[in-house]
Amino acid sequence: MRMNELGTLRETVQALRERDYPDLPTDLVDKILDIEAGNVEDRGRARDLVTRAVNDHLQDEMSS
Amino acid sequence: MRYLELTIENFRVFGGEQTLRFPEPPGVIIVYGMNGKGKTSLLNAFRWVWTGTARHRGNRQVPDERLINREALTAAGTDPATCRVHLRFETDGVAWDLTRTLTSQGGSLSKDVTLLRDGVALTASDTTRRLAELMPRDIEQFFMFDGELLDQYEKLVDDDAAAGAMLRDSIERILGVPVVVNAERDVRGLAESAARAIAEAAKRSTRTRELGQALEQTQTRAAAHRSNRDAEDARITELEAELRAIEELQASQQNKIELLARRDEKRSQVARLRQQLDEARDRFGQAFATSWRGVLVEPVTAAVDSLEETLVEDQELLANATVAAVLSATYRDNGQEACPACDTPLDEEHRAHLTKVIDMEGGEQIEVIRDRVQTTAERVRTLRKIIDEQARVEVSTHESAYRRAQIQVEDAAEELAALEEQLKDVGEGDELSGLAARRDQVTLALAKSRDIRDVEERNRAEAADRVERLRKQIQSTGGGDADEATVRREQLTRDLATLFDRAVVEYRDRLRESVQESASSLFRSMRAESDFRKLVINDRYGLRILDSKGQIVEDRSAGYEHLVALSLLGALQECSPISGPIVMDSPFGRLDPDHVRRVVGQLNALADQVFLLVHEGEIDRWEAQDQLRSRLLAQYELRRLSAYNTRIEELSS
Repeated sequence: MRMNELGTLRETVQALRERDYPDLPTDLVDKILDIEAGNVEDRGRARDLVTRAVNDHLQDEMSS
Repeated sequence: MRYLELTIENFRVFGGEQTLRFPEPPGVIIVYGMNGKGKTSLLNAFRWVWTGTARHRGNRQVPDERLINREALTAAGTDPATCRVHLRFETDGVAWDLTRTLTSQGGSLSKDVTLLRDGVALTASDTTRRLAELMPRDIEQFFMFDGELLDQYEKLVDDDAAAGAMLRDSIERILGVPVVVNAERDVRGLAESAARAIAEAAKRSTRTRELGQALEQTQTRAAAHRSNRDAEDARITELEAELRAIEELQASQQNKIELLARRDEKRSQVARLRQQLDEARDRFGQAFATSWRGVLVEPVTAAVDSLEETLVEDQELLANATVAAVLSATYRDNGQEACPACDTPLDEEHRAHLTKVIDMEGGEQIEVIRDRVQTTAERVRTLRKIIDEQARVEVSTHESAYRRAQIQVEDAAEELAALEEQLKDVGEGDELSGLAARRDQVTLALAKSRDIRDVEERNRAEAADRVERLRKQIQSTGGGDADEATVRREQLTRDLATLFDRAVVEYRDRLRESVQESASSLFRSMRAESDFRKLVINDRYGLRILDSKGQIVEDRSAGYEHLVALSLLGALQECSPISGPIVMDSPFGRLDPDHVRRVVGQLNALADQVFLLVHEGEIDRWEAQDQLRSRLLAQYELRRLSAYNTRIEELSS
């Protein structure tokens, strides 16, 4: 019974991203949602992973 | 998720080891049991194996020391006594074995929980993490509940009830709202740290130093207000939990008062039945003492028949003799000249014959015959008494009356013992007046905390606006000393935080709309009143009924409250990313037979696997069979062997 189907949540975030924040990278938004969904009981670990995801994305962006 | 098998060993009223296997296709499993036979204990077996907590009606926790079956505990003496619940289930092709045990020895208790994934045991920390994922604590109430939980849903439409606020949080939990709320908090944290890097960079440049310092100070102020707001949020959560606990205690105290009244009534009933039993025992004893007479009935009846024949003959003889005596006296009186009957003068021949006959019939013979008649009649009376008494004294009738009285006493005594047990579990608790005073205090503290939280949030928002203005000023003056990566990070995280912030609001709105639509559809299929058109949802997921004129139905019946609650539960399952089997204990108490039939017809809309724990008064066994047909997978009955031992027996369809 894990939260492995984000369904409406992903659609909501995606719709907002496309409508109001077209510059935001889809991959990063999806990754943050997956991290949160997979670690709902472990907030500290989720925060670390979100930080790392943003850092990795920025690094890729700067090096490209 | 699908349950495959449940094994219960010495848990609550279930003595020994008992296993229930659940058929594979989706459908309904019904367990019948009268009150006090173990339905709540069976619901608690599911609850306990998942969470390690069992609850009474009224939501009070069952103390651990009361989980082990009483008879098993007594039988163990000084040896260890253990209760165990084992649940086999599967999720997406993965087989799970969850076992929870509690052992009592020498007054101390030890607990253990093991989880096997595809036959491989998980470590203790992995077990805890997996259990939290498979059945999160604050949402288990949507999968295992009783009629009292359905009552709580009414509080969702009551703005003042703490239970309503707690329930709203749990509903959001099952709907997955925390995922987006947590994401928003995490990226907000990143955005604040990126903004502090911008302030640092601004301070390093002479052109933007002052702006950088102002930005840093405002950021610090905004962070302090945010921290205060979060602290107040935490305090509000605590106070809401306390208020909910008080409300539950109040309900439980009320329950205790009702239990005490029922206990007293049951005690009187037991005393009355015991007296009736004593009387029945006496009657049976007396009947039994004369039961030997039964073997004499046949010969005595034959003897009576024969004696009665003799008696009739003798009575005839006596009558004849008496008439003859009268005639004889008359004959003598008239000097033997005329007939004593018709007074006709007699000739010599007739006179001689008549003298002879009268001498034969009369005289001393009358006394002999009369004595014989009296003796025979007396014997007939004595013997008939034996037959008549035997007819009255039906030993078997008295015996069955005695046995019936015994069963009535045993049943009532068992019910009394169950009530005494429930009263022990309820405990002493606080007095209702004390609870009311504490409730008032907590309500006041809660209102104060909410005010403080609102003030902190307003101050934080003002500081955040000022941060935004200062940031723009710094940007317009060249951005200070910030490098491209710092600027990009600040922009990216700020946009992410705003995105998730808005997503929380929009996601909640969408969910509410989905829940409203889904619940309305279920409600329409279950309600009998066609004027009730749909359900409308409020911010707390409370549902109100809308009639055909678009008016809110203000005074809905208790039965409709439950119908709305069941509609909400079904909608939550449909709209939630989490789904699983539902175990319901006595959910139909408030519904009339027509609505029970309608709800039973919709059970599979609530979940793929539904376990219904009911008494036959709530739902008719044959009607359920007829209505569910192939969707009815199995039926069980709870059969109580003693006050502390119930067997679960499968019923043949």
